[in-house]
Amino acid sequence: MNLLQLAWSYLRARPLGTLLNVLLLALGVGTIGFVLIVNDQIGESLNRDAKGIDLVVGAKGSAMQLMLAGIFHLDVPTGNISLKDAQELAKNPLIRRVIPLSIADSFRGFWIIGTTPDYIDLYHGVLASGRVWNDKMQAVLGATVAAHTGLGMGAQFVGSHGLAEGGPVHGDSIYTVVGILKPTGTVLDRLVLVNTESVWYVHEGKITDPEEEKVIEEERQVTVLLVQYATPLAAVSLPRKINSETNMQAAAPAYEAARLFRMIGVGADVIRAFGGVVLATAALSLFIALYHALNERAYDIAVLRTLGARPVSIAMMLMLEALMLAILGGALGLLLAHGLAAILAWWMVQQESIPIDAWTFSAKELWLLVPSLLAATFAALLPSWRAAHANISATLARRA
Amino acid sequence: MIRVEKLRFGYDGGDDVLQLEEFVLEPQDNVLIVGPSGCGKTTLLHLIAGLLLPTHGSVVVDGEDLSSLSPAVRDRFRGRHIGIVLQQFHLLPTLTAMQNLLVAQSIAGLPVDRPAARVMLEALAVDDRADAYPHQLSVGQQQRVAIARALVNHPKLLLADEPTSNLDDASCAAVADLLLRTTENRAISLVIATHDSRLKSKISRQLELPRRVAETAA
Repeated sequence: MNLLQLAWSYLRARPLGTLLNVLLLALGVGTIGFVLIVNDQIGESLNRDAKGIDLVVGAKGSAMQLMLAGIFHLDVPTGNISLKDAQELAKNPLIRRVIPLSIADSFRGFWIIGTTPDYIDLYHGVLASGRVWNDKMQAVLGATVAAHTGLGMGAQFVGSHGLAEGGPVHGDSIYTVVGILKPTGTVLDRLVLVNTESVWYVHEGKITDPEEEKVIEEERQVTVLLVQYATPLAAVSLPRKINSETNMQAAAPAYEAARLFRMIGVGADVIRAFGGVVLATAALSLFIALYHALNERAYDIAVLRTLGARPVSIAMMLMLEALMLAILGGALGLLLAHGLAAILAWWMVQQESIPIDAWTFSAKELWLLVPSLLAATFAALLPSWRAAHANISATLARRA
Repeated sequence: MIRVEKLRFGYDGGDDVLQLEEFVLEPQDNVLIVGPSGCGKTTLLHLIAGLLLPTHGSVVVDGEDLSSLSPAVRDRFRGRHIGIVLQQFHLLPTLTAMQNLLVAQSIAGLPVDRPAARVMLEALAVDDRADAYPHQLSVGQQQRVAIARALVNHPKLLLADEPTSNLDDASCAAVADLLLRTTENRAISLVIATHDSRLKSKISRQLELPRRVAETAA
């Protein structure tokens, strides 16, 4: 029967008040935790997708759009660039590697990307079955695509123009699934990969006339180039050179992603502030409960003193009550945060957006107990002090 | 057991509440503190318990001058050597009868000794109600548990403040007998502050406090 058990007995004696305070604390911690988890997960997800890409080059337009379309495939591309310009750029000695992406069609809401096997290597993609294409009209499916569409090895499908389902269908150009990738946790999971020639083929149709073929080849295009620098020095001159001297636009993912996060961050700050307000409310509610308990328990406290309790023990008892509520509320809040994140994750999967792993617990989440503990400590300070300094003799005499 | 000398007590450093030149209680002796209402009976009891400190003079309990002890040591001394029974026999409402005894052990800094607590409940014939909460106990049972709690740390001195004031004659006699019997068996000194004249037949030695100084002056 130590102080902890004694404090617990008082919490148990008024379950409704205890529940209210735990819930308020949980709501505050949960809201703040939710923002933390989602921010972290989205940040990690975007970082994984952008890893190894120093520069995105595409048609002129919005740099943000170019990044969203070229790396995360969350937006439509800004347009196309000519293959010749792209090939010219690839010769630049500052560039180590260029991965071309041709983005035009989709299959059931998943982009079909014309590219090279380098793109799979970029995300360390590993085949779960089958092989990489060796000719046009052969497709490799990302893990999520395979799971959602149910397509297996050897299955055939046609792409539709644009991203919306039900867009114009390229009915005469049939893709065959030759490989399926293991999950990578990157954007690769949500893509259908084919070679660049397939995209040209789908849109050009079969060409028989050699003269015509020559003209068409002159005009061939790709959508986006993912560039890896040969040297960090390239960052100084290359983007400016591309933007000023060519018809193309260069966007640095590191910079654009930071800009994007600043924009999302405002929303996150608002939610976080809301969580802070709830937490302050919880502290106030806790303070009122403890202060009320002082009057209710004045005689109990006096009795404890006659049994030899020191003032500091009495203060400790109230403080322990508050801290137990804080830990209960904090733990419940963490659970709530993950629950909310799970709901968001489910919704985002429905939207075929960035995947969030809602049930990953990180050690830094324990920091979320800190505001809860602080709120409780703050709420308990004055009641504890008053309890410790109560005039025992007067309390006992009043009852007599 | 108790030696009070040149005692003066008043709030804010005064001496208007209680004045007592000398009072000595030998070990195992019992005494009744009597006097008119407001004469300072409870105050004297609190002074002996170390809940209040005298403005002047000294209160020595079991060889310890309570004023000379630090607050923490005084609290601990009270927990271990002085048992206190309050007017309402107040038990902590959120704890069972047994837990009320265990908390008394723990708060006094003594090891929690469940068997010893049970023995004490047995001695007061309430061991069958050990796991009941105070509101589930009859008034008589609450009194017994409260006495058991006061005695569980084997004090040398038991202080009781108006233990019989709200009781009918039969209950009054029962509680008085219970207090006398349990303290006598254990060689504990018993000090009862009361205005209940029914107790005068039970304890022969009486310390009569005069009417309050301030009131006399007024």
